[in-house]
Amino acid sequence: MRGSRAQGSIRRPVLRLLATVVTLVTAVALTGCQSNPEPPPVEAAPSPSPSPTEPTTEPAPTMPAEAQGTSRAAAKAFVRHWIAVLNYAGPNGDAEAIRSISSQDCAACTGIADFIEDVHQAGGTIEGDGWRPRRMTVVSETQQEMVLDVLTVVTEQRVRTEPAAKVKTFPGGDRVKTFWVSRVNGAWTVTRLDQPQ
Amino acid sequence: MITKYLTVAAALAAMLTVTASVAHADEPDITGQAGSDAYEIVGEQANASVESSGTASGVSGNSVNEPVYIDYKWLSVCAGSALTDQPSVQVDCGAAQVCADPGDRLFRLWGQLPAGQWVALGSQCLGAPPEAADTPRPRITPAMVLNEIRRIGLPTLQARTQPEGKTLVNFDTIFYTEAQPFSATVTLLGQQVDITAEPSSYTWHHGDGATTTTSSPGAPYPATDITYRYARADTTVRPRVDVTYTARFRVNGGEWRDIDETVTIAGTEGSLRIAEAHATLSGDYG
Repeated sequence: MRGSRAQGSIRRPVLRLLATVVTLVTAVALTGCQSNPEPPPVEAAPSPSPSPTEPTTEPAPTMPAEAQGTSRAAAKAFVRHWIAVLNYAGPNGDAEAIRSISSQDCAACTGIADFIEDVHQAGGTIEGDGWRPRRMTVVSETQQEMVLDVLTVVTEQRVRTEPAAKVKTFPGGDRVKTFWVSRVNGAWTVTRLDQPQ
Repeated sequence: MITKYLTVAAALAAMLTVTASVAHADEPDITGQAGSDAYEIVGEQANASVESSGTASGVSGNSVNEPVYIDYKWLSVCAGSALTDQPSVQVDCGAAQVCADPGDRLFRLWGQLPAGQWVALGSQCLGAPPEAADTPRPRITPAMVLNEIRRIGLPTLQARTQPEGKTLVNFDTIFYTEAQPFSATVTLLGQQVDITAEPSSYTWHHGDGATTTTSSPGAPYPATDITYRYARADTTVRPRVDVTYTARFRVNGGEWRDIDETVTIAGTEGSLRIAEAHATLSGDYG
């Protein structure tokens, strides 16, 4: 879903597509809204991640204690953890690490995990410093889910799809990633990830 | 910019060719896309695929579970939002180029729940603020229409009998009513809603404690569709008929939708004297 300055043939159909699907968004309820505004903090870098350029044998990052509970702070800690797992999973080919903390309904999460899996199964590599969250804000909150904007520095990524293939370099940049997170069976999970381009 | 995208697309097409042999059936296709990294490309590709198939996240296909939004608004993400009690400055867009196109700005679509709370539904980079035509229209639900029907009120029916006003014990008294279809056009959430309702069943309260349910309104004599024999004489009963309506509606002239829930309207009571007939010989027998 890419926007365009052009009016008409590109922008309108895309918007209408979004308009069509808004009622299909994960069900929400009315309670659970908190009224305490919080200052937008500057986010720390994700918790331990392995060297981004060389696959390691280190295990996937573990869920931090701060991600326990249902508070906004816990939701933010979980999203930071999800990003740390993504940064680990790409170079190491551990797609399951991402799947384990993402809902099957999260199409983008599944797409990313499939991509990581496919590249590594073909003997390729994914290198880069990954995503660095710079600022994180809870945008809206219901009893069922929270929506968080994460202003993210996407670092340069280098993808080699097989050992003999040329390296493809992606430039990175500043992006807003929007995470929908829910509590399922007492644990957080990402139910949707939007990356507006 | 276009050149850059084409370059990326060509490279990614080559990459896709290589990965095709190990790909899943639903492997993300990154051909022709561009992004800050491959995750952005494959993630948005997957989102678009789900949206176009109408099976977005968390959806069971059961409309009962779908959230209902009574209003929608697009707002710039960078400008924050006065719609919620969240911090007004959500993303410091001034410090970052968050859209691939330098001229684009990031807008978010908000939906308002019936209780008033606004929730974020999605965001998109756009070159100009979305217009009214780009904003989804609030969904009219059967429950909303049902509430409106109850507010307006459906026709009350009167039970009619033959004989009228006075009948005999142990005699087939005919019951019927004059059913009326109902139609109305109302405005809900700024949209034109046509409503029709038709009686689907009738519950006859004969006034002596007995009830009968029929699917027809009955008819006057000589028809004998609905009859009832009173067993006790020298009493006055107050019969009535309660009518159950089934309704359907359409929004802005679209397709008609049935409302599963019915509406029952109690009828007004009449008065019927139950008498006993005595045979009396009369005449000149002299």
